[in-house]
Amino acid sequence: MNAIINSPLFGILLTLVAFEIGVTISKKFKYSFLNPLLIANILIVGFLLLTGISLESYNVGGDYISVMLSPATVVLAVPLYRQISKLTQFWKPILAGIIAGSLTSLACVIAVSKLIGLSETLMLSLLPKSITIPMGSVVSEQIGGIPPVTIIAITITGITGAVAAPAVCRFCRIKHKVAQGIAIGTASHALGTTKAMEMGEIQGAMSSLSIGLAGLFTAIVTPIILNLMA
Amino acid sequence: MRIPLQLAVIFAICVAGEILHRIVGVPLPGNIIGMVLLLVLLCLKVLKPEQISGVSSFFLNHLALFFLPPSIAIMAVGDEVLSQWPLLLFLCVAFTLVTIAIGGRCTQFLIRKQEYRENLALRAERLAKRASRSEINGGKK
Repeated sequence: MNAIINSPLFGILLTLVAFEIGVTISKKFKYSFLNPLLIANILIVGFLLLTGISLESYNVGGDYISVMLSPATVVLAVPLYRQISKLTQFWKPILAGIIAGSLTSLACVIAVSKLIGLSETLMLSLLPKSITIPMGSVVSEQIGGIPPVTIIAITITGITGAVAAPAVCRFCRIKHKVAQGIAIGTASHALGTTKAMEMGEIQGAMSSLSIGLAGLFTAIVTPIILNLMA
Repeated sequence: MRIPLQLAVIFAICVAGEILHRIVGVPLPGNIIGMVLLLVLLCLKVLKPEQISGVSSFFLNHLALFFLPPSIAIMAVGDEVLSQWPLLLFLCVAFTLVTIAIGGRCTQFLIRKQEYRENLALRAERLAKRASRSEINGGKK
């Protein structure tokens, strides 16, 4: 049995089955908090905890699917290309929105951490939580945070974006499709973009664009803000 | 293009992105550089969207699947985080909602402002045209 659990086939099968269950449930009940990713995540974590199978064994197969993240991110250029006229038309509001969103995320972390007396390392680990994992973990390390904590914060942030984005847009009356996409991508990187893509091609394209730009802006500005504070 | 060739193109772009990141030292992750590279190829018409549509629509239609395995790493939280787990969860969720709200409202406000300005300019232009036309007509009478 151990040989099977430690073969890549196990992790791949578990991922595919959990994902399909997640998609089926979320299609059946149209509540946005029943996000396929969230359901599948809970199913897999629950299954591994119940059976006592380690994360390492799961990752033997899971990593095969993670590798596909790279091409999946690259093809986000296709909807972006189809919506390039929106980008050139609204480039000023788009850039300003990405900067505003990134600064909001940083300001929230700093202000609340100081207010409730969160430890310095935890605050530093939370700062890059709105940007994509490969960038966030580097920024975290650079400013003295703990990269694994950052990765967890980034994941929670991404899932929150994917689950709650439509509700927040409705509640705050963010109706413009470009604004919706920029908000989602800036706040919740590629994980949120999965939802933006479902909402529509314009939202998906704008969200994809924000991942890179928000990541770049945050990576540059975070050390500067910390220097100013010190 | 046949699917294997489409895959080869996309993976070649991924590798190029990694090279630019790791060897040349571009400060963006390889896959984000790859996204920019593909966008440039599309804009320069080196590639047409239809040529890679088989692979691109497969990835785009099932985007969330590829983010599932990395998200399971959430299981491996350390003791230091575990003790403050509910607080961290609450903070991450709350900050994300605020960020979406403010980022979205700002962008929307600026877009509306730009649209308003462009509309005004357009209307002024039309009015000016109409005025000049009626002047000419008036002159004939």
